Amino acid sequence: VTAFPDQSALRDRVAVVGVGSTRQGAHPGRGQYELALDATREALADAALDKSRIDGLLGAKQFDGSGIDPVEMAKLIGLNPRVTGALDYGTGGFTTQYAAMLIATGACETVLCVYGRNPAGAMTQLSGEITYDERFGLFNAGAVAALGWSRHMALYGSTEEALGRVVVASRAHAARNPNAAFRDPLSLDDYLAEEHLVWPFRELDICKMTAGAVALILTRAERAAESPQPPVLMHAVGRQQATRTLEDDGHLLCHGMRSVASHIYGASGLGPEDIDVLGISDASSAAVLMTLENYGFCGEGESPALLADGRIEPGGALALNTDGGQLSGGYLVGWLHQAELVRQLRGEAGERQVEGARLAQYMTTGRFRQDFLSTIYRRGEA
Amino acid sequence: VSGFRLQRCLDCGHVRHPPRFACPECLSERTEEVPISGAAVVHAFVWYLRPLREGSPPTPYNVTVAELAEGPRLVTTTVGVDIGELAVGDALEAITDDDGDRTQLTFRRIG
Repeated sequence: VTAFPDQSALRDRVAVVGVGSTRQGAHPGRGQYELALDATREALADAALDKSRIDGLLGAKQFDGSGIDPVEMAKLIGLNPRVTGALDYGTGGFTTQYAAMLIATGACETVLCVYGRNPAGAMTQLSGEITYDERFGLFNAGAVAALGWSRHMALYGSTEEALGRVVVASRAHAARNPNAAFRDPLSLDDYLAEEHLVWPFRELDICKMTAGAVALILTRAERAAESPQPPVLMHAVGRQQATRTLEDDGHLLCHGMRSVASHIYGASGLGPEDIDVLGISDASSAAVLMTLENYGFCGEGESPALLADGRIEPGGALALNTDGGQLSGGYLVGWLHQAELVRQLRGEAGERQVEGARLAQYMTTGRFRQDFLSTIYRRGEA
Repeated sequence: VSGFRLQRCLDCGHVRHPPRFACPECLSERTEEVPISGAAVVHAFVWYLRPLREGSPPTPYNVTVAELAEGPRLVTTTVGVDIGELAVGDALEAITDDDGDRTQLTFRRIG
């Protein structure tokens, strides 16, 4: 039995009542604040809230300092929030956790979380452009995930086909999402025919930069009835950083996730078998496989077998990244996953709807495998 | 590889890398430097088949995470092997590679 912090002050106290998202892909001539405002308008209309109700505004930064500055965003929409903030590495789940802290402690009542970007090379540039080691040429965050997969292959006899199944399924899901960035069909043979980029990865294993935005409005659960949509409640959230990196034996296999799993399942009394829809942060294909193992959706080393019979394809037993994820839907550092899970729990995911979805779980790897977080969302009573 | 040394804690004996002023296990600042044995194993590796940016080493090249016999893991490269010849768990020995600018620690496969 692993100890975990008590979370009763948070459980079901915070609701997502508004969601907005743009089409993902290329948006020539449209800046990140314009895209962020598009998503914000949609989220406000979705929540049926006047902007004056927003008393907290969270943006997010990326590792290079770019991002949505919440003060600029507040000026843009003409607000004096009680609190503005932006995490210095604000992927989607970390920012909604921050919003929930503000709401659960009474610092704010209704928080707008918004992120958008329009990077150079949208649709073509690889994500994760960072240099880990100049001397030996360890370039790109995807290469660190590839290092992890080389270890997985050696320890468990796993193959590149498992990576391919993740990529192929993401394309099949994206084909059912009109706002997805990469919707062309892709077969496992197509995947395997591509040359390696950073063995054991092909270019298809690393997500590409895309332009787009997401806005989410969170409020106290008691106020959720004022919005027309079925409320989506934050049921549990856990985070574990992994600052020791290579000094920990399991660093390259993301074993820090196991601590998050203990926390979130311990706090909620739920387990992987209870979850109806999964959103897994997929900056690389291998991240999906390691996440499934570390959270206990299968045993250690068993993720390739879990995927082998089409289980994560559309209509499969494991509903995972139903919007196409970051590999095919669009790379907005985890923000799109929040939007998709909320829509699934409301029952408004259209062609990709998971019937009767009640519980959804987001699982992410942030800050280049040094920061793990998971959120369980629960459908509330309308 | 005589020029390469590792920090070892004088209080608890923990060998650490990268260098820092205190031991991350017992927080002692009492430190000695010890020569590395040069023995290591492949912890993980990748092969770059195309250059990902300017200033890349000539492709194909590998990046190896080597686990030293003393415990620490470090990012390096294994020289003298082709794609398909390197595997996790392979025994390595340290060599120095003088690229004209500076001397760096690289490895070659043994056995």
